[in-house]
Amino acid sequence: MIYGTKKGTSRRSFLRGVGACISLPWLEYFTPIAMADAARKRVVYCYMPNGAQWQPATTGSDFQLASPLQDLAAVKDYLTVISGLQLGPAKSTINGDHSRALTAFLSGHTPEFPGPSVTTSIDITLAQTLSLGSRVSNLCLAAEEHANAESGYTADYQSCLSWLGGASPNSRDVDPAVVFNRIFAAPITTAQDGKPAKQLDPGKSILDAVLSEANGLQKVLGTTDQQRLQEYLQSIRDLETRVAIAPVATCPTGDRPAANVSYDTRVKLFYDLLYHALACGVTNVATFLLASESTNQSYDFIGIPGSHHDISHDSSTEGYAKIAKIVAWHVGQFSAFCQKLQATPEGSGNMLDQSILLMGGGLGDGARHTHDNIPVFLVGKAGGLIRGGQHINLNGTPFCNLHVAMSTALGAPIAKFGDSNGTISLS
Amino acid sequence: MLLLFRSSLAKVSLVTLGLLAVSGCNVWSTFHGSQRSVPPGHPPQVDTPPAVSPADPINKVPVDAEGSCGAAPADSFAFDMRPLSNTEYDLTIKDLLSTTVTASAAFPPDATGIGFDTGAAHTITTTLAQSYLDASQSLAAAFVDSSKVACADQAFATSCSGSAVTAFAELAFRRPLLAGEATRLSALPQQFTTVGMADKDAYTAALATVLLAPQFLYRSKVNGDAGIPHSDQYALASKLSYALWSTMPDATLLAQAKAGRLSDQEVLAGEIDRMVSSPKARAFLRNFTAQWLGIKGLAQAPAAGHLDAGVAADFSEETLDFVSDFLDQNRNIRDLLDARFTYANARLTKHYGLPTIAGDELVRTTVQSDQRGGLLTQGSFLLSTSNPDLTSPVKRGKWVLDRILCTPPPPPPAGVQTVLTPTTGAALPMRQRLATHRATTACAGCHKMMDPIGLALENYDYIGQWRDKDDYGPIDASGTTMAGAHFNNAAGLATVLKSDPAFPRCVASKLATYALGRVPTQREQCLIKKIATRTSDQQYGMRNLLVDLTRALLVN
Repeated sequence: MIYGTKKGTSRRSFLRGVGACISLPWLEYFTPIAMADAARKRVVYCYMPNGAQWQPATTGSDFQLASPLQDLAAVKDYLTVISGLQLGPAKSTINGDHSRALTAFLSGHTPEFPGPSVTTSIDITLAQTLSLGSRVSNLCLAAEEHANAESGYTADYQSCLSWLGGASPNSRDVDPAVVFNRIFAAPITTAQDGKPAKQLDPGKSILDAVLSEANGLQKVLGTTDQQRLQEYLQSIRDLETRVAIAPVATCPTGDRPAANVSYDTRVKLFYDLLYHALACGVTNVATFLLASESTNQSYDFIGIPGSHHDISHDSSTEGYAKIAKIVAWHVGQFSAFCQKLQATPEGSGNMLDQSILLMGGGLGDGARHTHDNIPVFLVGKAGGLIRGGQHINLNGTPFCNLHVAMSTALGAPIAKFGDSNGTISLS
Repeated sequence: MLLLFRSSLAKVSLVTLGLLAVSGCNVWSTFHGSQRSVPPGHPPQVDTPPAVSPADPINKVPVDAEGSCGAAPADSFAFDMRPLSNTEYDLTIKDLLSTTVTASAAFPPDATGIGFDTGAAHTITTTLAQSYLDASQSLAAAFVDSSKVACADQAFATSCSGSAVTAFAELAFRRPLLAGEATRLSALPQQFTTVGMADKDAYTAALATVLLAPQFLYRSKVNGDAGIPHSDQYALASKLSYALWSTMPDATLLAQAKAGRLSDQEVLAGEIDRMVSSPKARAFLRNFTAQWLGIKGLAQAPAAGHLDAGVAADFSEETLDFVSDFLDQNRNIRDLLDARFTYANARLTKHYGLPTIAGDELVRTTVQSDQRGGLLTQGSFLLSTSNPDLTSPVKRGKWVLDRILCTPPPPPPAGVQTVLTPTTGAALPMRQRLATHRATTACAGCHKMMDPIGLALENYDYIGQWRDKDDYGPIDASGTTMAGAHFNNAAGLATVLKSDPAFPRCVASKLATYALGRVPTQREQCLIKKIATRTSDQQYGMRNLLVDLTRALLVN
């Protein structure tokens, strides 16, 4: 990728100028003018807590967008709405529907009680193939740091979308400024003359030496601790491979996002960072938890104050209308993200042609904690293997069948995942 | 979630069997279920610290002298290797490098696991390893640039830096180096110069290597035959210091390990007393308290927008200072619920309507009225459990059952309409609105426990300010527990709660889980229960409780 640049206003004056409409400054500074590596495929999973319902009335290509999905009109050609999927592993006769909804969504399994313990999630498996040559294996973002524990389950089940397997949730980044560093600041330091500073050693020598120390320690530990150290060794080896991958020299850098921004700004910042991470080829796999399951986040910024979770249990018409507005706001942010990829040329098309961006959640009707007919849609064509522009209704099909179908479309086929009993035709 | 006592254990099996949803709350409640009489309340505590020395004789009596909790496991120093939490990392770096940098601000947050960041659930992922790599390089560079380095004046000649690196590593690893470690690490600066680094950069990279090594990032125990004399005692020193200080052992403790004196029970007891009495134990108690009471991120609480700038942060400081005072002064933990003092500054005294204290710094102040005193009258709790524009007696009741009594109620059954305020028609006073709960069979079981607790606190609005009346008229804060104890207001509720044996048991179990970094075993649960009972019987304080827990759970 080569980016044209123009010098301009400082970030602060930019922010003052646009008022409530916050965006990262480099959006204005850098316009992608050419893209390479058209074969690269990428996947992003976004998770909406507390339930959502957006099923269009009719199926096929001539469907009307249900009201929470209105903002997707601009990318409708790339949109596949899939209704009727069920998240079987989230079902149980005991309490804890929110915890199981989130944890089963990408792991395909029922998490153990009280946890933490669940199988590896699909994003981690796919990253092994899709991010093989990327500097970052995967991004795991969450717009809300804290979560409550539900019904004796670990709180991790309400705050972690991505799981490495066993007792280990993936590390989450909850601060846009930290994500900014992870994507841009660490690999590229700018010298005073404006040229990229030469990095003598991006850490490879240190990592080599650390591996020697770990191997030395391994010999004098008990058996259990030796296994523990294996996890560490695996991470250090993975890091050693990745720090050796040269960053894209022309990848844009900007000022770090401000700390302690409001929730709505944080969601927008994360989408912007995600776009740039994908556009720069920093990674090809990401998860984004829009808020913790059972979140009490207030949406006063769109006129819906009060706890999101409390509102989701208001089964009056007004309650459902409020939830639809919250969902519509999130779909709007997601759509803006999709449109940035659509506006970025890649190969003979645009970035959406090579991507799958999934939005969904493990609860359909939040008031009743249903896991049948969970809300799911995709944007993107995965190199033409997804037709787009259609609504499919697959009454009672396991959601994990979609994981199988997506893995094939992404070129990293997995025959069976979680409770899958087949695949789904997306073409 | 902490499931420590018999009643709670019963819950595990009920939940596992899928019976809890139909059984409701009463089955496993220790607070109101089977207890039919509540002991008379203790009078509010007089504001003078009890004169108890750290080396209280009670702590010398073994918790389980008769051995009814079963024998200790064969490996009395059973040690589970685990990485430092973010807080432990920061405090260790502070001690090691004499810096005030909070490196973990750029780390992913710790997982929650068992409810505390000391839990062994977290793994060093590639993402976290990247954060550690960045931090170790910048911390090492800043350290080398400071004047604290042995080789600063010698242009980092490798002959000096090799021995400086091993000296640094011995501190960072919290034990003497293995022969192989000493050989490899002392050669590192030289080795790094051969790949093109300047002397100073090579020295910096060697220090960064130490900070990224598993010997630093994990607390581990090397085998006894590895060539380090008293290696188990170094492991014990780390275990104690991370449990009680959230940081590395100090020179005194390491010297005891080096001399092999921690196997002497008198010496060990003396060290534990010293550690618990040290100002460093405050860091531990603040970290514990913030997680126990769930008061992290108060500025993001739903109603926080109504507060003046800085008050949300003051709320958490108030509670952290208040609980720390119990350790400093060895106060009776039951008085956490109604102690007649708090910590406040100008903003908080104005907010609470207390006699004015000048300045930003929180200072200890005596409170004279029934309106303030104890955790349940503090802004941190009152704010964190409120809705954006309204108090939530239900959330307050649930918080007390969960965090004060360790008997969390289950969530409402799926499909039940839980929003009680009709969006059309006349709104009802809070007490009448909540009465709907108790008229509905599916809700009554739990709400009969939660609602009276929350309603007793209705004199505190959603930002913790006192009010005699709300929009509907004078507030009636009176109530009756399911066990039949009456109370007239929040102070009366505090008296009932502090008399409940579940409360000290709950504090002890939360402390133990935090210090162990895992769910206690069955034997440990038995010991915790005995310790809690001893606490109740003897009326002794937070410091004694901590010493007992340490001696019974961490050493044996």
